[in-house]
Amino acid sequence: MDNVILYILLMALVTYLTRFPMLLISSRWTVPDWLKRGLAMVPVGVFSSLTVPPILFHLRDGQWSPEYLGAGVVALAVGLWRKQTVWALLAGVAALIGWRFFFGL
Amino acid sequence: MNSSRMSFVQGMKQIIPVASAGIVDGLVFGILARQAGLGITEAMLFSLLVNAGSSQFAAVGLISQGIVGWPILVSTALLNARHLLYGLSLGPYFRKTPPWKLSLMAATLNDETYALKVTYLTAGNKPSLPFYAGASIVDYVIWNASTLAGAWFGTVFTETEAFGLDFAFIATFLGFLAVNLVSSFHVKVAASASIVACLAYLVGGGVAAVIAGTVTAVVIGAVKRDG
Repeated sequence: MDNVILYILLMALVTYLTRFPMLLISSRWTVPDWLKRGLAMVPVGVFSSLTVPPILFHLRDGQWSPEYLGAGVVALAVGLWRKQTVWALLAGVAALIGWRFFFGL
Repeated sequence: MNSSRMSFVQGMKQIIPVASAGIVDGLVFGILARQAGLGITEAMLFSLLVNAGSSQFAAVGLISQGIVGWPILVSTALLNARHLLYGLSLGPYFRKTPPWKLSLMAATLNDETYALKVTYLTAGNKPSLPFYAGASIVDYVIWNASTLAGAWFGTVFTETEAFGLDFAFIATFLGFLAVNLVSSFHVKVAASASIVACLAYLVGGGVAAVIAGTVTAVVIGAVKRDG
């Protein structure tokens, strides 16, 4: 667990480096447009690549299972509708609970 | 003096609905951290020191798979790269603010505080550090209190799969994705990133997928010519 604390500290450092330097730079200088456009796509890039592969290639007991796909569609739809992450979380988890209730764990 | 105190209180009040949405995330984070085998101390260190929900979720997901190493830092850097965007957007409003004040302001820059601040500025209000400080303190307290509550009761949940909690990370990230799909261009970028991420996932696993997908999205954004 000592390693975990070390990595939490390193994570805090990495995170701070994403927070401060760019704030300082953009408060003093003008940042090129291509960089702005590229950075603007970071959120969609990160969040889609974190979610789509584990949903599509979800295994359960060594077999492909559509349960994450079903719950994922619900979570995304509710997220698009309510525009708040917490509703997507609640809806996605509820959908999975429901799925497992009807189709088994 | 009086007006800065008013701004401070105003910030504290206005962040409450935004930060409250994070209470469930904080609770779930605390629970999942305990399920991954971490103690209350480690769970709290995450929220106290990192204070960036999505990267904390991803890190605990990796730890629960037994991965304690550089993939944690890679996923942290990529997930939190959106703070670069927030800094980029807020910086020009604070041209006369001394760097040491900016360094403190940066410490609490996250999704919630950015969302509130940018709404405040686009409503035509003047850039205000006290407003931001008030909002940041309340957001920080809510996030850490909900993490503590989740971590405290985290070991009560033994049947996490029956509660669907194994899907909590993905559902939260889908929520973030939904919030960010603000134009048809964003949808196209997300689709392209997903395809590349899936290929990378099959070859190199989850971390490779996030790197390849994010780089794809950034390159498409950078080379795009119109608007």
